Amino acid sequence: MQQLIKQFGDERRTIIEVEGQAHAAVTEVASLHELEPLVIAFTRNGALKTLPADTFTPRGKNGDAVYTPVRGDEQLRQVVAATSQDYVLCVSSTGRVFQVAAHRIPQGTRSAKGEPVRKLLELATGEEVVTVLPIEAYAEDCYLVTFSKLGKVKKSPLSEYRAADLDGLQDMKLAEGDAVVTALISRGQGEYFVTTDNAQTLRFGDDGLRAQGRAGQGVAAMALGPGAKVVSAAYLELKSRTL
Amino acid sequence: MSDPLSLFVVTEDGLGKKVPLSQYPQKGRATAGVITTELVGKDRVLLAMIVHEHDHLLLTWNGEGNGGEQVTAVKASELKMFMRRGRVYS
Repeated sequence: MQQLIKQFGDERRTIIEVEGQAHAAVTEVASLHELEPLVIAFTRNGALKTLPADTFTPRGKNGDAVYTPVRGDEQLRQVVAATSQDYVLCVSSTGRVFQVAAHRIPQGTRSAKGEPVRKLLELATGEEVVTVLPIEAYAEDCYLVTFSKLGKVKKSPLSEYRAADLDGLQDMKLAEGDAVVTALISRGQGEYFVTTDNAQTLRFGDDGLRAQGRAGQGVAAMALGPGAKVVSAAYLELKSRTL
Repeated sequence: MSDPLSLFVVTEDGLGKKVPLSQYPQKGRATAGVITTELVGKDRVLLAMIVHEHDHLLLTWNGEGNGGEQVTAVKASELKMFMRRGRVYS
Protein backbone atom coordinates (compact mmCIF):
# COMPACT_ATOMS: atom_id res chain seq x y z
CA MET A 1 0.00 0.00 0.00
CA GLN A 2 2.78 2.41 0.95
CA GLN A 3 4.50 1.60 -2.30
CA LEU A 4 1.34 2.39 -4.29
CA ILE A 5 0.99 5.70 -2.42
CA LYS A 6 4.57 6.60 -3.19
CA GLN A 7 4.14 5.65 -6.84
CA PHE A 8 0.74 7.21 -7.59
CA GLY A 9 -0.02 9.51 -4.64
CA ASP A 10 -0.74 13.18 -5.38
CA GLU A 11 -2.74 16.08 -3.93
CA ARG A 12 -6.49 15.55 -3.53
CA ARG A 13 -8.41 17.25 -6.33
CA THR A 14 -11.92 17.14 -4.86
CA ILE A 15 -13.27 19.00 -1.82
CA ILE A 16 -14.70 17.18 1.18
CA GLU A 17 -17.80 19.09 2.29
CA VAL A 18 -17.94 20.10 5.92
CA GLU A 19 -21.02 21.44 7.66
CA GLY A 20 -22.29 24.61 6.03
CA GLN A 21 -20.25 24.32 2.86
CA ALA A 22 -22.73 22.03 1.20
CA HIS A 23 -25.00 25.01 0.61
CA ALA A 24 -22.37 27.29 -0.82
CA ALA A 25 -22.93 25.90 -4.31
CA VAL A 26 -26.67 26.66 -4.06
CA THR A 27 -25.89 30.30 -3.33
CA GLU A 28 -23.70 30.46 -6.40
CA VAL A 29 -26.47 29.08 -8.60
CA ALA A 30 -28.89 31.65 -7.17
CA SER A 31 -26.47 34.48 -7.83
CA LEU A 32 -26.28 33.46 -11.48
CA HIS A 33 -29.77 34.87 -11.87
CA GLU A 34 -30.01 38.55 -12.52
CA LEU A 35 -30.89 40.54 -9.41
CA GLU A 36 -34.40 41.75 -10.12
CA PRO A 37 -36.84 43.29 -7.64
CA LEU A 38 -40.23 41.61 -7.63
CA VAL A 39 -43.27 40.98 -5.50
CA ILE A 40 -44.57 37.58 -4.51
CA ALA A 41 -48.35 37.18 -4.48
CA PHE A 42 -49.83 34.34 -2.44
CA THR A 43 -53.56 33.65 -2.75
CA ARG A 44 -56.04 32.13 -0.32
CA ASN A 45 -56.47 29.03 -2.48
CA GLY A 46 -52.75 28.37 -2.25
CA ALA A 47 -51.33 29.75 -5.49
CA LEU A 48 -47.98 31.52 -5.77
CA LYS A 49 -46.69 33.80 -8.47
CA THR A 50 -44.12 36.54 -8.82
CA LEU A 51 -44.89 39.89 -10.40
CA PRO A 52 -42.84 42.91 -11.46
CA ALA A 53 -41.97 45.11 -8.48
CA ASP A 54 -44.02 48.06 -9.71
CA THR A 55 -47.25 46.09 -10.09
CA PHE A 56 -48.88 47.66 -7.05
CA THR A 57 -47.50 51.17 -7.41
CA PRO A 58 -50.36 53.56 -6.67
CA ARG A 59 -51.70 55.07 -9.86
CA GLY A 60 -54.30 57.59 -10.82
CA LYS A 61 -54.68 61.25 -10.06
CA ASN A 62 -54.74 60.79 -6.29
CA GLY A 63 -52.67 57.64 -6.21
CA ASP A 64 -55.64 55.55 -5.17
CA ALA A 65 -56.56 53.76 -8.40
CA VAL A 66 -58.48 50.52 -8.06
CA TYR A 67 -57.47 47.48 -10.04
CA THR A 68 -57.67 43.70 -9.93
CA PRO A 69 -54.44 42.11 -8.71
CA VAL A 70 -55.30 38.48 -9.32
CA ARG A 71 -57.83 36.47 -11.28
CA GLY A 72 -61.47 36.94 -10.42
CA ASP A 73 -61.68 33.48 -8.85
CA GLU A 74 -58.72 34.03 -6.51
CA GLN A 75 -58.26 36.06 -3.34
CA LEU A 76 -54.99 37.60 -2.21
CA ARG A 77 -53.59 36.40 1.08
CA GLN A 78 -50.16 37.99 1.14
CA VAL A 79 -48.03 40.27 -1.03
CA VAL A 80 -44.34 40.55 -0.14
CA ALA A 81 -41.41 42.36 -1.71
CA ALA A 82 -38.43 40.22 -2.69
CA THR A 83 -35.69 39.86 -5.27
CA SER A 84 -35.03 37.11 -7.79
CA GLN A 85 -31.98 36.01 -5.75
CA ASP A 86 -33.90 35.53 -2.50
CA TYR A 87 -34.99 32.27 -0.98
CA VAL A 88 -38.58 32.02 0.16
CA LEU A 89 -39.42 30.26 3.40
CA CYS A 90 -42.96 28.86 3.41
CA VAL A 91 -44.33 28.09 6.88
CA SER A 92 -47.17 25.60 6.95
CA SER A 93 -50.16 25.24 9.27
CA THR A 94 -48.76 22.00 10.69
CA GLY A 95 -45.49 23.59 11.74
CA ARG A 96 -43.24 22.63 8.84
CA VAL A 97 -40.93 24.99 6.98
CA PHE A 98 -40.21 24.72 3.25
CA GLN A 99 -37.72 26.61 1.14
CA VAL A 100 -38.02 27.51 -2.52
CA ALA A 101 -35.84 29.83 -4.56
CA ALA A 102 -37.72 32.97 -5.61
CA HIS A 103 -36.65 32.55 -9.23
CA ARG A 104 -38.32 29.13 -9.27
CA ILE A 105 -41.74 30.63 -8.57
CA PRO A 106 -43.40 31.21 -11.94
CA GLN A 107 -43.64 34.85 -12.99
CA GLY A 108 -47.07 36.01 -14.02
CA THR A 109 -49.20 39.01 -14.65
CA ARG A 110 -51.99 40.39 -12.51
CA SER A 111 -54.53 38.42 -14.50
CA ALA A 112 -52.52 35.18 -14.82
CA LYS A 113 -53.26 32.25 -12.57
CA GLY A 114 -50.63 31.49 -9.93
CA GLU A 115 -48.81 28.17 -9.56
CA PRO A 116 -50.51 25.91 -6.99
CA VAL A 117 -48.16 25.74 -4.02
CA ARG A 118 -48.79 21.98 -3.86
CA LYS A 119 -46.98 21.66 -7.18
CA LEU A 120 -43.95 23.43 -5.75
CA LEU A 121 -43.85 21.91 -2.25
CA GLU A 122 -44.45 18.45 -0.82
CA LEU A 123 -47.41 19.37 1.37
CA ALA A 124 -49.29 16.70 3.30
CA THR A 125 -53.04 16.25 3.05
CA GLY A 126 -54.81 19.06 4.87
CA GLU A 127 -51.59 21.04 5.27
CA GLU A 128 -51.54 24.59 3.92
CA VAL A 129 -48.97 27.35 3.70
CA VAL A 130 -49.84 30.23 6.05
CA THR A 131 -46.89 32.58 5.54
CA VAL A 132 -44.26 33.21 2.88
CA LEU A 133 -41.06 34.96 3.98
CA PRO A 134 -38.38 36.04 1.51
CA ILE A 135 -34.85 35.57 2.90
CA GLU A 136 -31.85 37.36 1.46
CA ALA A 137 -29.33 35.48 3.63
CA TYR A 138 -29.36 33.22 6.65
CA ALA A 139 -27.96 35.86 8.99
CA GLU A 140 -26.76 34.59 12.34
CA ASP A 141 -28.55 37.34 14.25
CA CYS A 142 -31.97 36.66 12.75
CA TYR A 143 -34.68 34.36 14.05
CA LEU A 144 -37.78 32.70 12.68
CA VAL A 145 -40.62 33.34 15.14
CA THR A 146 -43.72 31.19 14.74
CA PHE A 147 -47.10 31.85 16.40
CA SER A 148 -49.86 29.30 16.83
CA LYS A 149 -53.62 29.67 17.04
CA LEU A 150 -53.73 28.55 20.68
CA GLY A 151 -51.21 31.15 21.79
CA LYS A 152 -47.84 29.39 21.52
CA VAL A 153 -44.71 31.02 20.14
CA LYS A 154 -41.35 29.58 19.10
CA LYS A 155 -38.21 31.51 18.25
CA SER A 156 -35.36 29.68 16.50
CA PRO A 157 -32.19 30.95 14.79
CA LEU A 158 -32.73 31.44 11.07
CA SER A 159 -29.53 29.52 10.35
CA GLU A 160 -31.29 26.33 11.49
CA TYR A 161 -33.49 26.49 8.39
CA ARG A 162 -30.65 26.56 5.90
CA ALA A 163 -31.26 22.92 5.09
CA ALA A 164 -34.98 23.39 4.40
CA ASP A 165 -36.08 22.32 0.93
CA LEU A 166 -39.17 21.45 -1.04
CA ASP A 167 -39.84 18.45 1.24
CA GLY A 168 -40.00 20.62 4.37
CA LEU A 169 -38.40 20.54 7.80
CA GLN A 170 -40.30 19.85 11.00
CA ASP A 171 -40.32 23.07 12.99
CA MET A 172 -43.01 23.66 15.61
CA LYS A 173 -44.57 20.74 17.46
CA LEU A 174 -48.25 21.50 17.90
CA ALA A 175 -50.83 20.27 20.39
CA GLU A 176 -54.00 18.63 19.10
CA GLY A 177 -56.31 21.22 17.55
CA ASP A 178 -53.56 23.80 17.29
CA ALA A 179 -52.20 25.25 14.04
CA VAL A 180 -49.61 27.80 13.01
CA VAL A 181 -51.27 31.13 12.13
CA THR A 182 -48.29 33.26 11.20
CA ALA A 183 -44.52 33.52 11.28
CA LEU A 184 -42.10 36.42 11.02
CA ILE A 185 -38.42 37.24 10.97
CA SER A 186 -36.96 38.89 14.07
CA ARG A 187 -33.55 40.41 14.77
CA GLY A 188 -33.91 39.57 18.45
CA GLN A 189 -34.07 43.14 19.72
CA GLY A 190 -37.61 44.30 19.12
CA GLU A 191 -41.17 43.91 20.31
CA TYR A 192 -44.07 41.67 19.33
CA PHE A 193 -47.72 42.65 19.01
CA VAL A 194 -49.96 39.59 19.23
CA THR A 195 -53.69 40.06 18.54
CA THR A 196 -56.56 37.68 19.15
CA ASP A 197 -59.92 37.44 17.40
CA ASN A 198 -61.66 38.77 20.52
CA ALA A 199 -59.70 42.03 20.20
CA GLN A 200 -57.00 41.60 22.83
CA THR A 201 -53.49 42.77 21.92
CA LEU A 202 -50.37 41.89 23.87
CA ARG A 203 -47.13 43.78 23.43
CA PHE A 204 -44.03 42.06 24.78
CA GLY A 205 -40.31 42.43 24.26
CA ASP A 206 -37.85 40.13 22.53
CA ASP A 207 -35.89 39.78 25.77
CA GLY A 208 -38.81 37.82 27.21
CA LEU A 209 -38.64 35.24 24.44
CA ARG A 210 -35.64 32.93 24.52
CA ALA A 211 -34.40 31.28 21.34
CA GLN A 212 -34.59 27.50 21.17
CA GLY A 213 -33.84 24.68 18.75
CA ARG A 214 -35.71 24.19 15.52
CA ALA A 215 -37.88 21.24 16.56
CA GLY A 216 -39.74 22.22 19.71
CA GLN A 217 -43.19 23.05 20.98
CA GLY A 218 -42.43 26.64 21.93
CA VAL A 219 -43.66 28.60 24.94
CA ALA A 220 -46.84 30.50 25.78
CA ALA A 221 -47.07 33.79 23.89
CA MET A 222 -50.33 35.00 25.29
CA ALA A 223 -52.97 33.98 27.83
CA LEU A 224 -56.18 33.51 25.84
CA GLY A 225 -59.77 33.94 26.97
CA PRO A 226 -62.33 31.14 26.49
CA GLY A 227 -62.69 30.31 22.79
CA ALA A 228 -60.23 33.00 21.72
CA LYS A 229 -57.52 32.39 19.18
CA VAL A 230 -54.51 34.29 17.90
CA VAL A 231 -55.16 35.82 14.47
CA SER A 232 -52.03 37.86 13.81
CA ALA A 233 -48.66 38.89 15.13
CA ALA A 234 -46.48 41.82 14.16
CA TYR A 235 -42.86 42.62 14.90
CA LEU A 236 -41.41 46.04 15.61
CA GLU A 237 -37.67 46.52 15.44
CA LEU A 238 -36.45 48.90 18.09
CA LYS A 239 -34.53 51.04 15.61
CA SER A 240 -37.67 51.51 13.48
CA ARG A 241 -39.53 53.12 16.36
CA THR A 242 -39.46 56.90 16.14
CA LEU A 243 -41.23 58.98 18.75
CA MET B 1 -44.91 65.04 18.07
CA SER B 2 -47.34 62.19 17.39
CA ASP B 3 -46.17 58.58 17.08
CA PRO B 4 -45.76 57.80 13.34
CA LEU B 5 -46.30 54.11 14.01
CA SER B 6 -49.68 52.62 14.74
CA LEU B 7 -51.55 49.34 14.82
CA PHE B 8 -54.11 48.98 12.03
CA VAL B 9 -56.87 46.62 13.16
CA VAL B 10 -59.39 45.14 10.70
CA THR B 11 -62.47 43.08 11.57
CA GLU B 12 -64.36 40.41 9.64
CA ASP B 13 -67.21 42.85 8.97
CA GLY B 14 -64.81 45.10 7.10
CA LEU B 15 -64.31 47.71 9.79
CA GLY B 16 -60.91 49.03 10.73
CA LYS B 17 -59.11 51.60 12.81
CA LYS B 18 -55.63 52.92 13.39
CA VAL B 19 -54.37 53.10 16.98
CA PRO B 20 -51.06 54.72 18.08
CA LEU B 21 -48.55 52.15 19.34
CA SER B 22 -48.06 54.28 22.43
CA GLN B 23 -51.55 53.16 23.51
CA TYR B 24 -50.23 49.64 24.05
CA PRO B 25 -48.19 49.20 27.24
CA GLN B 26 -45.44 46.59 27.16
CA LYS B 27 -46.39 43.61 29.30
CA GLY B 28 -44.85 40.27 30.11
CA ARG B 29 -45.05 37.34 27.73
CA ALA B 30 -47.92 34.91 28.44
CA THR B 31 -50.18 37.63 29.84
CA ALA B 32 -53.58 38.64 28.48
CA GLY B 33 -52.74 41.98 26.88
CA VAL B 34 -55.17 44.87 26.57
CA ILE B 35 -58.38 45.50 24.62
CA THR B 36 -57.57 46.90 21.20
CA THR B 37 -61.11 47.66 20.09
CA GLU B 38 -64.75 47.06 20.98
CA LEU B 39 -66.54 44.57 18.78
CA VAL B 40 -70.19 44.74 17.81
CA GLY B 41 -72.29 41.57 17.82
CA LYS B 42 -70.46 38.52 16.47
CA ASP B 43 -67.80 40.53 14.71
CA ARG B 44 -64.23 39.28 15.26
CA VAL B 45 -60.82 40.73 14.60
CA LEU B 46 -59.39 39.51 11.29
CA LEU B 47 -55.89 40.95 11.43
CA ALA B 48 -53.73 43.62 13.02
CA MET B 49 -50.60 45.09 11.48
CA ILE B 50 -48.10 47.82 12.27
CA VAL B 51 -48.26 50.71 9.83
CA HIS B 52 -46.12 53.80 9.37
CA GLU B 53 -47.61 57.15 8.43
CA HIS B 54 -45.60 57.04 5.18
CA ASP B 55 -46.98 53.61 4.22
CA HIS B 56 -49.43 52.86 1.45
CA LEU B 57 -51.93 50.21 2.46
CA LEU B 58 -53.19 47.72 -0.10
CA LEU B 59 -56.76 46.92 0.90
CA THR B 60 -58.50 44.00 -0.78
CA TRP B 61 -62.12 42.97 -0.66
CA ASN B 62 -64.56 40.78 -2.49
CA GLY B 63 -66.09 42.59 -5.44
CA GLU B 64 -69.88 42.56 -5.47
CA GLY B 65 -70.45 42.75 -9.20
CA ASN B 66 -68.17 40.17 -10.83
CA GLY B 67 -67.50 38.17 -7.67
CA GLY B 68 -63.77 38.79 -8.00
CA GLU B 69 -61.40 40.69 -5.78
CA GLN B 70 -60.79 44.42 -5.85
CA VAL B 71 -57.86 46.32 -4.45
CA THR B 72 -57.31 49.91 -3.51
CA ALA B 73 -54.16 51.67 -2.30
CA VAL B 74 -54.70 54.03 0.63
CA LYS B 75 -52.15 56.28 2.30
CA ALA B 76 -51.90 55.39 5.99
CA SER B 77 -51.74 59.08 6.84
CA GLU B 78 -55.24 59.55 5.41
CA LEU B 79 -56.73 57.18 7.97
CA LYS B 80 -57.96 58.84 11.11
CA MET B 81 -56.26 57.87 14.38
CA PHE B 82 -58.45 56.47 17.16
CA MET B 83 -58.03 55.59 20.79
CA ARG B 84 -57.52 51.96 21.69
CA ARG B 85 -60.87 51.56 23.43
CA GLY B 86 -63.88 52.29 21.32
CA ARG B 87 -65.61 50.85 18.31
CA VAL B 88 -64.06 50.35 14.94
CA TYR B 89 -64.90 52.43 11.90
CA SER B 90 -65.21 51.57 8.25
